[in-house]
Amino acid sequence: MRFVFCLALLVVSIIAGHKFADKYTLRRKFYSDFSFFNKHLKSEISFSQTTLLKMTDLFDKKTDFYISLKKYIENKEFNFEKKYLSLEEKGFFKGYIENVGAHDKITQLNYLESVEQKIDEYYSSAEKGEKKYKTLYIKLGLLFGLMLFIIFI
Amino acid sequence: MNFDVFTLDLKTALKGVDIKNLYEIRLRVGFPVIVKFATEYKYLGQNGAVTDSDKGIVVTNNHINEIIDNITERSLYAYNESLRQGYLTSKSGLRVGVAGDCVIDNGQVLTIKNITSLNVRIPHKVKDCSKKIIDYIINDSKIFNTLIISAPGYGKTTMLKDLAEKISEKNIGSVLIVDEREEFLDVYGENIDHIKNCDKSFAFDNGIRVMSPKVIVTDELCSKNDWECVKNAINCGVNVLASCHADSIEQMQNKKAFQKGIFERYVLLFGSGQAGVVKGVYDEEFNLL
Repeated sequence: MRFVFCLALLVVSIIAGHKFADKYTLRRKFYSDFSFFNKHLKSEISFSQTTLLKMTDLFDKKTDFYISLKKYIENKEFNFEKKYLSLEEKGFFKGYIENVGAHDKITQLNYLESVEQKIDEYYSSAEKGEKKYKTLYIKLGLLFGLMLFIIFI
Repeated sequence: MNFDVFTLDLKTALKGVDIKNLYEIRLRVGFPVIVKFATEYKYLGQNGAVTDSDKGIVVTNNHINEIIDNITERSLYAYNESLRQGYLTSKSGLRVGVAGDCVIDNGQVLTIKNITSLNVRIPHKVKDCSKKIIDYIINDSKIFNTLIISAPGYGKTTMLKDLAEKISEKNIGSVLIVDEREEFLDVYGENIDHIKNCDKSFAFDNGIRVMSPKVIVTDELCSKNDWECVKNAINCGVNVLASCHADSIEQMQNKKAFQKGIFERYVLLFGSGQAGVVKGVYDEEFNLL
């Protein structure tokens, strides 16, 4: 019985480690979508000029980035409450979706180019963060679980 | 008519308006919305048309921005070419003229920004409005090259729409509609093809080459280039039905771009308040028929 309880503690700790690591994965995915969308929109504006709504439908992704973008296009609502973005990052994202689609071709292209570097910086830091902390939290969860296992067995 | 592109307050107000006789909705920032009916102008109040300007809904920048956002589906960049030419067309076929600050580079208009006025034109389709003139334009299978003339808002496009459908029904050949501003979206038939959103030079050249039309229908001949396109088409054996802004035959002849000998029929429309009322049909020598 005690063995089963300790084993359960170990599993819970590992899951908790994964949960803590999740925000780094979500943050990386968010910036991956953000960076891809920005680059794709630049090429769309230069060539086929698809509307934003059609583009979001085309990708049909139910990720945080696309859900927020679509919500703003359809209802002009911005309510991004995910905790994996800092306040500054939320402000930057809000500025982006307020500006995207609101300008003529030339101004829009200039805007997208001006923010591209910043998006890529965030993306790169999100990737590094995921690499660094994801495995760390999973390992910590495992170690903590093992520690509890040893203490209680 | 679908008024989805309007703001909620304007949509509510338009529910109380006689849409059948509505021709234009004019929005100017800081002033009440004006609605133009067949024979009169009124203001748009909370629940419909009113005569007192104080009771009209005053246009704000938010109205203009939201309407533009809705028309363009928040993708203004995708409408750059039409915006550059001063108009936007909604999915439901509302043609919206825009006025604001033109951004110019090397003498070319790049775009219009700080938009302060919108003129929303309500498209009308008046079935059989060309009934009185059709016999002057089509004689058995011969189609006379025809120019419809009137001042703005008297129904030139309405007349051309009906003529295009009538010719299509007669099964005498393909009708190619060269539609620069998406004003012919509601015109269709088994013999009708559309080339939309491009200038007349491209549409005429390519249209003749690839669609082999019997007739080309196009709106608003303005520049010398437009007249040259028509002339070339006729020289290729294609008939042309077109329209041109002028209040009289004399005014039309005084236009710089006008060329005699291109059209065989001139139809002058009358500003009675109703779209497409014919004042007179003239032959190529301007004799009244």
